[in-house]
Amino acid sequence: MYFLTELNADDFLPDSERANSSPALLAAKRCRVSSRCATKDRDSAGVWTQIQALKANDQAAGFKSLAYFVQIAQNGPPLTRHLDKKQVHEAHEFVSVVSGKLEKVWRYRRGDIRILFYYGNRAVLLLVDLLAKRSDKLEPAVLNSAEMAVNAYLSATKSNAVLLVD
Amino acid sequence: MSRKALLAGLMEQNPGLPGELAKVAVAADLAILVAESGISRSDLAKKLGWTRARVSQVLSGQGNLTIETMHAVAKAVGLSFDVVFRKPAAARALQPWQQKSTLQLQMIDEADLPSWMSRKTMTPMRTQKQTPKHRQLTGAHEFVMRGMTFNSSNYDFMSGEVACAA
Repeated sequence: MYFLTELNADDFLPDSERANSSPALLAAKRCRVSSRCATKDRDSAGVWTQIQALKANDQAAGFKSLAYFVQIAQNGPPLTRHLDKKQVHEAHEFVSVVSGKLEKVWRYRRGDIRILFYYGNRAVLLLVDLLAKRSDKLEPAVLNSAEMAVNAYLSATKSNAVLLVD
Repeated sequence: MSRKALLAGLMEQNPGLPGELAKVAVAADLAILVAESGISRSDLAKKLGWTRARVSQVLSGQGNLTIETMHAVAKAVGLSFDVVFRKPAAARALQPWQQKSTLQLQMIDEADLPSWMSRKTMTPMRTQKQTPKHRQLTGAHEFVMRGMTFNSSNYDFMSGEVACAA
């Protein structure tokens, strides 16, 4: 089973505030910024591990970048309406072994933080990777990992193995 | 790594993080506001006498976001703004673009909407003959706007003209 969870603005609040706060509004037209989870627990979303893997100086920047990206995406597509080309653009394309089609990985850039994502089905915006880069060139290992993440999602979609975790 | 553990670690390293996240949220709202207004970032820069880089910095929350800056951006798109305080559990104040989408969202869920009422505006249609009965909402209409619950019990009060107290 492929566990997937949608992130929202409340995920960036400390738990003490989150428990007492009224839930964030979710518009029907939103892009559903989603991350693959290791388990059925939505707190196990891979993007948190990716932020944790950054150097200490970059972790807060990564967290804030993701918070900003989620809020912007929730106003609906296209992201290029809210962000300029320097901030959001295609980063990589490859022919998927699962779909047999040309698939595109996009990049959101904010300071030294790069968020790689893929436009999936039903307004899902799949978070592929989150990393800190001092240059724009993505290394082969990062591109390979992105391709694997997209293929895993496409494969799970194809076999109806995606379970949305609330 | 779970979200909770990550956030706890980040808060320990950087106690000012919630304030920084609040700034990021305001910047994202400004970016959405500019996008929704239809003005390009280049035109906004010209209008404000700023460089394009400063516009990007302000709208991404990476610059120094002051009340004066927010006022300038809001004014440039023909709006003003208030700072609205609320208890954490109270409904969040809606932005103009959220009011529209939230209303539409609730209309879709409204299965028993009377035929004489516009599905777009949720008000009685002018082309229909209206009787006193029509002025009263029936069914389970309810929505929250600016912190006030708007339903059949207070519709007349909410929509009627009330003289200002001298």
